[in-house]
Amino acid sequence: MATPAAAAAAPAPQLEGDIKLVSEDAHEFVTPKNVAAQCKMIKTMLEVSEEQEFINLPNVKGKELEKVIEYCRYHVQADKPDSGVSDNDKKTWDENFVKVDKETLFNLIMAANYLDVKSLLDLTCATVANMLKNKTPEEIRREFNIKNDLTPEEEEEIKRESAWLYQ
Amino acid sequence: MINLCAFYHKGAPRNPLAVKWSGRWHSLVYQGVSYTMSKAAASKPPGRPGQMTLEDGWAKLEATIHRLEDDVEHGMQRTFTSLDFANNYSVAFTLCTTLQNSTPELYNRYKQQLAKYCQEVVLVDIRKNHGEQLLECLYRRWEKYKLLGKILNCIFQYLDRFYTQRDRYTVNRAGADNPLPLKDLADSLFKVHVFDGIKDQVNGIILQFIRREREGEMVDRNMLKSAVEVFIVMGQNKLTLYETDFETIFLRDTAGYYKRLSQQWIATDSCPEYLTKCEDRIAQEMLRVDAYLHSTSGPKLNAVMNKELLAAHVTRLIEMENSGALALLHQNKSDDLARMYRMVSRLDDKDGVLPMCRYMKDHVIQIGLAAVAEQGKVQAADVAAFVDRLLEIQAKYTELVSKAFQKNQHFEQALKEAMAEFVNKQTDKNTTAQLIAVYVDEYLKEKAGQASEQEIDHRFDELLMLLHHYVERDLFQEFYRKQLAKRLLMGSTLNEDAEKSFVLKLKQKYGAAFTNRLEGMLTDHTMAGELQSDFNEHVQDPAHDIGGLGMEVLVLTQGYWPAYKFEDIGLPALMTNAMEKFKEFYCQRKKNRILTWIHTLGTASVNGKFSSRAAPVEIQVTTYQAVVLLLFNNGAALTRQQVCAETRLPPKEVDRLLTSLFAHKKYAVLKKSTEEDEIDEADTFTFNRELPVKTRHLKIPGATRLRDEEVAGVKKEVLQDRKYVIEAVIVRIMKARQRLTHAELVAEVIEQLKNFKPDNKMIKSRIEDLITRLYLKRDETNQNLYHYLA
Repeated sequence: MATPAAAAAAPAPQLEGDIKLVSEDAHEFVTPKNVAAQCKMIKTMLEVSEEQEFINLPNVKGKELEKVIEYCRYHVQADKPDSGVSDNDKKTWDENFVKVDKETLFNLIMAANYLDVKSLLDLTCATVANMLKNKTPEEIRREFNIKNDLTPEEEEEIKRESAWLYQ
Repeated sequence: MINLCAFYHKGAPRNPLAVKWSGRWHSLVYQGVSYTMSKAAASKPPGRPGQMTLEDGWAKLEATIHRLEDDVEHGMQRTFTSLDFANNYSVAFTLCTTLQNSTPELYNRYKQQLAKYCQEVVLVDIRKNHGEQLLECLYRRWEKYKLLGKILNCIFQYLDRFYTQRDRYTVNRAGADNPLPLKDLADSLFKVHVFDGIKDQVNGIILQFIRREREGEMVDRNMLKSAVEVFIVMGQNKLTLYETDFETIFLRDTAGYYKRLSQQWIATDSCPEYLTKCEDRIAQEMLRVDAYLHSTSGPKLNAVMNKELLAAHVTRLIEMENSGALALLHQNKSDDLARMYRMVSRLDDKDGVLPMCRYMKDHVIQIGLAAVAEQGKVQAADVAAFVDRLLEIQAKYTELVSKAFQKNQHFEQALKEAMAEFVNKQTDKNTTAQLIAVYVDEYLKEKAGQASEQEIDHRFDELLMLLHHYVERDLFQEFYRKQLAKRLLMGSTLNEDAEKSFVLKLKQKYGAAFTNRLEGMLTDHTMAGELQSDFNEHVQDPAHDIGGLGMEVLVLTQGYWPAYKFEDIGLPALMTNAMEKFKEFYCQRKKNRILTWIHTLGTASVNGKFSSRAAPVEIQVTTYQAVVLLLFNNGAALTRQQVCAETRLPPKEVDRLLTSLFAHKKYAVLKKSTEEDEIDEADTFTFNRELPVKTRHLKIPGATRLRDEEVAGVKKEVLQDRKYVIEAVIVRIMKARQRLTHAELVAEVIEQLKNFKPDNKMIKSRIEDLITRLYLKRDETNQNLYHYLA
């Protein structure tokens, strides 16, 4: 997995002070710029036009934004070389962080993708992937409430192509 | 959903997701999930773009692009707020994520929009200008375009993340060009639609500016820098475009320019003038590289300058009459020479440095030989002046080589060869070895007393450097030994520390074997003082009385000192007694030593009573003279033959002694029976009591010896010594190698002998000698092969 530290590796000078992040449902979060800049999308924006007081994020709701900020805040601290937080501690923290209901998890994926937080996107996607692991297509359809829209012919073809899976 | 399922089946082994994790997967998983969720989550939040069509989204984005184009045109990007940004980002994001199949179309439209901007706004505007304004406009436009590109990149960054990046890993995009990342896309559009259309024009303008700057005009370097930079950026930061479309033409132009210029210069300028201009121009061109060209052009430009300004004219410059290398050497123009070196050393050694070296070598040889010839002409050659002149030449050119020629090894070598050439030149009268030895002798006797330690040190170093050029250093050593012996025996050296330091320097340079004897002599001299005071104490004891005679003895170790003539001479009892006493005393302290007396080196003080003075007069003479004088103590009149009988000296020597005692009026302590200077068998001598003496001391000059004889003697001794040295070396080599051919042996002998250069004949005769003495033998079949005999 990619290290979450990569995004925070080169703090630019304008990353001092705070910035107000405004969610789609008008929740406001006053956040240190260096924490917010963990989201590459925000970082890019700060670079293009410096003197912003707040940033509107029309695709993210307050609930997820709060989680994303929590994640960024933790990793800005924990990923410092002298933080004293072990990789194991971080892993445990991450595992607890994604212990949420499915809807929140999917919203988090969307938020991470939108805001471009690669490590969080990796983390949440891996969580979903683990849910899929060792399940048959039918089980997955049940788990995620997916309707089977393949025709029997299509299904046959897929099975033939992936015959090794059924050995 | 199809994506998700198909992927799951096709993908990879059973547990692939936890192991492999690339950007591509995010979007797949995400898209599947997102679709499901938007169906599952029944209530769609208001304001979220959701199911937007491409046309809706693009309309918004296009409007934004137009607005930004306008903002950029007016130098303002402030009207664009974070909300604008976030909204547009969201639109692009949503289009990419919900309408995955239209992503290429979105990319395409973006590309077309920018292309259109390049053609219709940027190029049109630039084309309105000419010359300087065109460059300025290009620069301005390029800066604006970069700004526009930067903001658009932010808005469309999702395209970069999941379209242009992702598709780099996609192999099967059936023939289509992979989409460029947005930044590269923007650059390439500018290149194709703007730059390619005007680059020849731009190139011409840049070159024109450079030409004007070369002619001394002030130009806007920043503008040139940005214009040149466009070539680099347009080449996607690879230098191919810069090199082919700009640099090649620039270098060709430069070569032409300097070809013409250098031809003008060479026609009118002197060599230093030409080289000064040349150096200036090269510096200017290098500053040009720093100021606005790419750094890789530096070496290429440098090569062009070297070729056109220097290589084309170097021979003519160096050989230029009245101002070329030779003239500058003659006129001591070290600054000009230094510049010449800086310039020609930019070329191959064979083109510039080596010809210069030859000139310097010839020049130094010429000057040196002139000095040598001068010395040969003048009758009583002033040794000090000659050696000073050699030292001066040495110092001057050593400095020239180290400063002007930056210690270039070719020059160092050339100077060494030049010095060796004339230092080893034999004049009729004197060898350099002798002259240097005499110089050191005079220096130590006369100047070393007042000079400071550093001065002496410096002078010695210079002398040793000079000596180093001299091949027959063993000859020097022998001369030096003679002179040192004289100084020590006569007590005429003023500075014992200086003596020691010179010998130490010789030792450091040529090894202990070279200075072994010199050091021994100095030690003997130091020890003598102690021994003498002990002896003086010793004779206080009545048992060891030496009859009131004051005696000073200097014990010399045989072998260290030059071989002195030992002669049997009849001495008065007083002296023989004292000598016996000293022998007893000495042999008690140092067992198993044999003392041999060398009276030729001795001096004596004799009291004489003259009628002209009441008090006795102290007459200083050599031991031999004293012995002769003492014969006249009882007022006797003696013939030469009688003196010979008493002293047991040969008649020739006696004649010389007698002559020294009567011939000079001022020192005539003896009176001859006849007036003539020639000594006849019948002539008698008596003490000259009536000699008018004005002082309490009378120093009678010693019987003179011929100097040439001495020189010849030294040479003979050295030749003899060389025989031993060569034999020792031959035996050492043969012992190690056991068998060698004649040629190999001779080569090794020459290799090992550092202090003189033996000729082959000399070596051959030594080998023959060693064969007869059974150290070596010839091979029975091969006459040229020698074997070592243990």
